[in-house]
Amino acid sequence: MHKFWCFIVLLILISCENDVRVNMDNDGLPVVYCVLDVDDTLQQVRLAKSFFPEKGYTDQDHLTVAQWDEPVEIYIEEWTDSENPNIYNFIKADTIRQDTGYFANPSFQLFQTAFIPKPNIKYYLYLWFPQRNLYAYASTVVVEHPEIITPAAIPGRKITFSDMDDFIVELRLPLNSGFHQFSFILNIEEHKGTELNRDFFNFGAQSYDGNNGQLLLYLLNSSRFYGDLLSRYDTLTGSDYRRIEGVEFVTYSYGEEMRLYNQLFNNGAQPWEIQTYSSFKNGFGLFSSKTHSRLTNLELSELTYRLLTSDPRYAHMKFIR
Amino acid sequence: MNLIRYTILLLMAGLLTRCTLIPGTEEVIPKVTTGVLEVDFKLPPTSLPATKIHRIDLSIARSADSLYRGLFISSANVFDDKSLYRFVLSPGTYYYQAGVTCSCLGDSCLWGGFPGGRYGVRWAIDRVEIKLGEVIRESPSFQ
Repeated sequence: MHKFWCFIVLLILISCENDVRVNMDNDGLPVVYCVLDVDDTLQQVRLAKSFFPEKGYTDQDHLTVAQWDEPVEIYIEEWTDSENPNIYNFIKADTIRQDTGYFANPSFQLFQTAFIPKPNIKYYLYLWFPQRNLYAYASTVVVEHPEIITPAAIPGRKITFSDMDDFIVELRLPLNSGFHQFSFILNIEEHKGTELNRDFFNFGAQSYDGNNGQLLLYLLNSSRFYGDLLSRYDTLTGSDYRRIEGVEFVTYSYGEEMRLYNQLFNNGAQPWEIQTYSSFKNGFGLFSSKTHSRLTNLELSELTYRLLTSDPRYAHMKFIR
Repeated sequence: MNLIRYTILLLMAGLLTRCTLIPGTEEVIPKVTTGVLEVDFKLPPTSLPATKIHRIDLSIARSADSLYRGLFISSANVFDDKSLYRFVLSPGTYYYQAGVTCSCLGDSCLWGGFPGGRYGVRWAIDRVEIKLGEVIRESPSFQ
């Protein structure tokens, strides 16, 4: 029995001691957002400071951020081969207003670098905080462009939204993608008296389909098309009229991180405002990529125009050919 | 014993044959008011690669005049990889047009029979009679 107690005491004496930190440091956590844009030469990082988690944070959709006020070095590693990465250093940007674009908040500081991300290549984003002797980092594999099968920019092929037919979008999903937005954009001229306004009517959908390389079929319902038009455009009187001057189709494909970010916690006004998913180590935020594809010079069919201009249900919007 | 069984069976048979539906619960068979036009929109045989021939139009009008003026009652969203299109229509006479184009480079389209060359259109136009409750299948024949 004595041996047993001696053994227990010995175990206690030689056991390790781990500090469990219940409360976070009160100097805040870096909050970083970077969505690499395959179709742009300028890549941006947004950086701020958060004291998240704060009291009652689970009830909030939005992360409260403050200005980042410590020195920081930001760079991206591009691993095109397994030996020597290309390194792109970010510098602080003052030319672009910080309250525009994604993750809009004036507290975010903007950093920029110039390069075009390559699809299917792995990128690491590092933020070095010398005062803290700490790296925050994340990685992503850059997304490709989707192949747009339908609609197709074939002269003569027109798009019909009618009571008898809906439109089916066909996309071949790119590698490393997880979230897709696609829509028809109708460029609309609105003539009211001597005033001319230009407007964009956006009709589309989004999909969280992650079956990379496979076909995505999505039905855009004609009744929703007309319903959205009716809820957007009011009655015009007199000689006022509207004219559709162009139709285009745009897609945005985002990386898998964006899918997680949106899908897991998509309960706010804007998907990027919900701050619960993070792709960063030693920090908080999102590192992902996106592509943008655009098909222009599409046409609505004669039938669609006739419905818009002459059908009693829609004629009050006064669209003309 | 057998007599009782037969009696019960006879009574049940009598009851079953006397049953009538409660007024107002008769099965309502919807009256058919339409017919169906199925267009088997095959691409015309050409010497060109099939991936370069595209369906661009399949529209239906009430008369030849309306077809000419573009006053269609229905237009299908056509696809390269779909050949069968269905229209549910009231009985009567209809006119339809089907169009295909060619996206080959150079003068291949011209020699493949597409007027004007690349993105020239070949049309098939025909008349079809839709009958009540019937499915009419049509295959456009291109010139």
